[in-house]
Amino acid sequence: MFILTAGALIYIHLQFQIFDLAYQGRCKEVAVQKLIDDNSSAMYSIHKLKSASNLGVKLLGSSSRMQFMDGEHIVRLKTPVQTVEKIDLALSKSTERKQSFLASILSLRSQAEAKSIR
Amino acid sequence: MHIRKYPLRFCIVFLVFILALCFCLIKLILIQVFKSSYLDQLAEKQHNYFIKLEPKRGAIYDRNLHPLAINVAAYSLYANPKMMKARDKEKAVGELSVLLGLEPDFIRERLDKDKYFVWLERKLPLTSVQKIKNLKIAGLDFIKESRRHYPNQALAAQLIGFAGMDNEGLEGLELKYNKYLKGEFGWTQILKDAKQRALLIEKSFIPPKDGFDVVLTIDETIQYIAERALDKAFVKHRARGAMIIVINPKTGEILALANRPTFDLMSPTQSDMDARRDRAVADMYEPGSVFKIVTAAAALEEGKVSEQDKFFCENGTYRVGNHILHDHQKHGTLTFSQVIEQSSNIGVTKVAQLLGPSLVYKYAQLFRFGMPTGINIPGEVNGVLKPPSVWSKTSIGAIPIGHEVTVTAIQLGCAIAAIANDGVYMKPFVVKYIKDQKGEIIEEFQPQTVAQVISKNTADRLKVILTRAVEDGTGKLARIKNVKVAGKTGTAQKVVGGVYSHNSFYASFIGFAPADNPKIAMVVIFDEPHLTYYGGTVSAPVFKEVAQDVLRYLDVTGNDTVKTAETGTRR
Repeated sequence: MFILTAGALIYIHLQFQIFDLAYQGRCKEVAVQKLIDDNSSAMYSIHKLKSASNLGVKLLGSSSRMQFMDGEHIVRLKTPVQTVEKIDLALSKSTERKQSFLASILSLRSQAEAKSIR
Repeated sequence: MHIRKYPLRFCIVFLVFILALCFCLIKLILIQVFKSSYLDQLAEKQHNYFIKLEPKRGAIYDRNLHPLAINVAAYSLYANPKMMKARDKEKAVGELSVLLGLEPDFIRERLDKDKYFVWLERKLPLTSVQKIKNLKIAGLDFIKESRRHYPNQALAAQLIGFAGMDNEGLEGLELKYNKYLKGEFGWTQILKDAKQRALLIEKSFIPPKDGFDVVLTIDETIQYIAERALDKAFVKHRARGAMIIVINPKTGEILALANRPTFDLMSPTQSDMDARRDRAVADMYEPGSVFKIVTAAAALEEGKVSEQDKFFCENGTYRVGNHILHDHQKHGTLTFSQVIEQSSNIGVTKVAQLLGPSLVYKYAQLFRFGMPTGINIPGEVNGVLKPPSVWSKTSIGAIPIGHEVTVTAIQLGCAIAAIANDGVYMKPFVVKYIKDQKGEIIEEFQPQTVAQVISKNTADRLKVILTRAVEDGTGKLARIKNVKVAGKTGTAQKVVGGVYSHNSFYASFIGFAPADNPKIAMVVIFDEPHLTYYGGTVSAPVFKEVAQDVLRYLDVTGNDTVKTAETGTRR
């Protein structure tokens, strides 16, 4: 009898917990929904600002000095292949220096160098 | 003991208690057994709540996945008049009329209804929603919906179309592809407490199926370039209408399609039908001299003429049947090439007489005049092309020069694109593919070859002639520095009240560039331009401005042909 009563009380308690969590969940859902709505509104504002219409009016309006570039105004640089190889060799040599154990302990390390990625 | 002393009283009290207990027992049995299903249903109704879950309407993108139409959250305001007190109603009337810009009488009339639910305003922006919530007026609440938004506002308005208040497509591609865009509603059953507040406990859940996204062949930047140039000329010439179409001649993809007048997609109800009509596919008109490309193509393909053959253009006046044909400029003898370059009506008529009505009709049909192009845009019309059996004696002097025949802008665009594409006619299309939210392609539309209309050799010869038409002929204002342009001008009198008007014209230009390796083909048409009305002075400059900027744009993006942004996987 005691076990039954205890079991019943526990069950009721758990049911109350479920409803309590449901209320809390509902509040959180409202907050999340608001964030989603704000996000979609912000995304729309971003899309509108970077749309061709908006950018075109701002950048290419009759009073604007900006215009599409001619092919003549574009400069394309071509680097010779040999120069690229020399640069690569130079970089690869400089990264192979060994650091002394003492220097690393005393934080007297050499300056970090960028490595070329092939 | 009292009981032994009063046994009767004890029995009566005992009986009363037993009767009461029996009564309770019977009532319990009645409730639990006989009325249980009814009471169960009542409880279900009070505490269970079915919510229809609105699917997200699919977006419309340009070929580079820039959004042209998307859905944004919006809240619709409703009132519960029966629950509102008089002071709440007065406050609502006063505040909402200012916030929403509605008439106070309208709001008052709504709130005076004897109902539990009345709409006040649908799909409000989030800023307005917060202001109304801050008023804390009892009896007002919101339902979350979504609203279609168009980041580019009026760009490609007639092509994209718009969706209504219930997110159903009403015009344009929004209507044509509504079954892909709209998705499917879902359902969920949730619990409500005694105060009718929804709890986050779902008993059953059928998720909504979001709509598919539609990706167009349109390039947003090229569309903007085309509309900007069209706008300037439309205002300058105070035209009644205007159209421009930019096509990739190798694939048939429509890169830009615009009409004037136009309307703002964010407020379509404030526009009239005239502004919402997609003239490029729905309007047919007599094309005038641009139609001469058909006669020229037929003559070269059939071997009836060569470029150096001479034609006497009767010094500007020539009788055909009982009709006198005129040239806009008097010409003596011209070569066939010059006949096209200088757009001599008499010269072309003589070429057509060599061909005969059947061949002229045959090639007009090969170029798909008088029949739909099959473009996936709603509202396309066929145009009118009379068969030779019903031609009059003057028709041979009219049809080859673009009269007594009606065409649409898209038909003209496809015809000139066929010449640019070595004589191969490609089916025009404006939707590239349809994808789901994960990026998987549901349906894809590939370029389709319709027919080899003319041979490559004939197309090449025509390209040379049309290039000269721009360099030395009537299309000089379409010339672009360092780029070879091929094209044809057209100036056609409009039929007003059954007769040709001397005041109303269609000014057209069709062309492609670069002529030796065409990347774009274009058609530009103005309806009733003023100040000047020639195709060479009204439409050709628009072609030049658009083609110039588009070729720069394509060169800058590093594309030899316009490419599509990387997409997801195919299903």
